[in-house]
Amino acid sequence: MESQAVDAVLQGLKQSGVDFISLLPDSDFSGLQKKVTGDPSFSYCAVSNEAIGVGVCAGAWLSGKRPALLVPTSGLLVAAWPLTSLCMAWGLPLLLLIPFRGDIGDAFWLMGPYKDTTEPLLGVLHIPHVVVSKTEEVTKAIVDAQGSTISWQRPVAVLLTGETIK
Amino acid sequence: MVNRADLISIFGEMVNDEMLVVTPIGSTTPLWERTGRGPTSLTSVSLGMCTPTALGLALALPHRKVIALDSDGNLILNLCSLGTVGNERPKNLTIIVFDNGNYLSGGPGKGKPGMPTATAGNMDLAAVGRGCGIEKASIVRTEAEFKVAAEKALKEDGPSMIVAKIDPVDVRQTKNFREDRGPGQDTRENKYSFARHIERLENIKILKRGGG
Ligand SMILES: [Mg+2]
Repeated sequence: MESQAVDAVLQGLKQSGVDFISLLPDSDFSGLQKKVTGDPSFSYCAVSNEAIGVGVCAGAWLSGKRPALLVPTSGLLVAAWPLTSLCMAWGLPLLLLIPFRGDIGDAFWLMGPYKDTTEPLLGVLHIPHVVVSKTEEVTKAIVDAQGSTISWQRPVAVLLTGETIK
Repeated sequence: MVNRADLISIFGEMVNDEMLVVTPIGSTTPLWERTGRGPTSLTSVSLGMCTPTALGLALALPHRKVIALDSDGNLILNLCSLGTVGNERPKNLTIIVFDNGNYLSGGPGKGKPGMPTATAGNMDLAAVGRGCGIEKASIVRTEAEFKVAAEKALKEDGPSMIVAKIDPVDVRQTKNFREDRGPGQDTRENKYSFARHIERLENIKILKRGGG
């Protein structure tokens, strides 16, 4: 991710009042992760399994925090169980920020399967999502998604693709 | 060995309204609901998600005691959550594991144990906890040991972990709680009552409606 995109994400998170972030350290988010860990606006919890990240965020929201989970397209599959059994069953909001690895234009061959899984999975989990490919649109997309997750009391995802994750 | 129901009623006497309790699916939740604290606890949390969710509560409310009433099958599914607990080191988190050595919910019922969990073999969950950096992790095998360990855990800084080796089946309770699902909340009702409880305790607003 280029620094402009990192800044756009950070701005979106701050503008929307996100104050708790969980993630599994991931190469696509390493620049963002560094900024988040050093920023006093966020509580930060690194996990070793994205399912645990969903649980930690659920507990944080029930405590009055506004959590976001930074999750790769692979980890979304790991998180599918608690997204169903916690977020869907309880009706819990959660902002999911997903670098859309495997989207058209991703040159890394091993990412191919995630084109098939990511959007259909969000569909079956009843998680509305927006796909953002322009850096200038990132901040607003995050603010809008956070507003919707709070209003609807269910997870909402922002998929970052194109120049935003170059 | 001791009985899960007896330990839960002992623990119910130790907890006050200022503390937050999370219980997983399985027989712990209906037994905990009998203490009358179901609506002010987070109950029936899905398989493996009890300790992770309690960790989120503990990190977000560092001044408030949070207790996960976890169990062997649940905890083993997301065992790596102990690594996060051991690194985050929340002082206010206590994990109690009712370890019956089997997947009771997958069992044949009628007072017989289900398929064994790893703790029926060689796995020692307290040793795993210590290996993850939860130094205050111990095994208890009697009511007296449980009382001492639980009192200590509630009084001292954590994170702490108590692995209570319990009977393989909840014989005395099985008939009872199967007929007694009435007081239990569904997940939606539990969300609202638990969040409202935290709103009152913390004097904050958690449940908000989006406005234009
Ligand atoms: Mg068990």
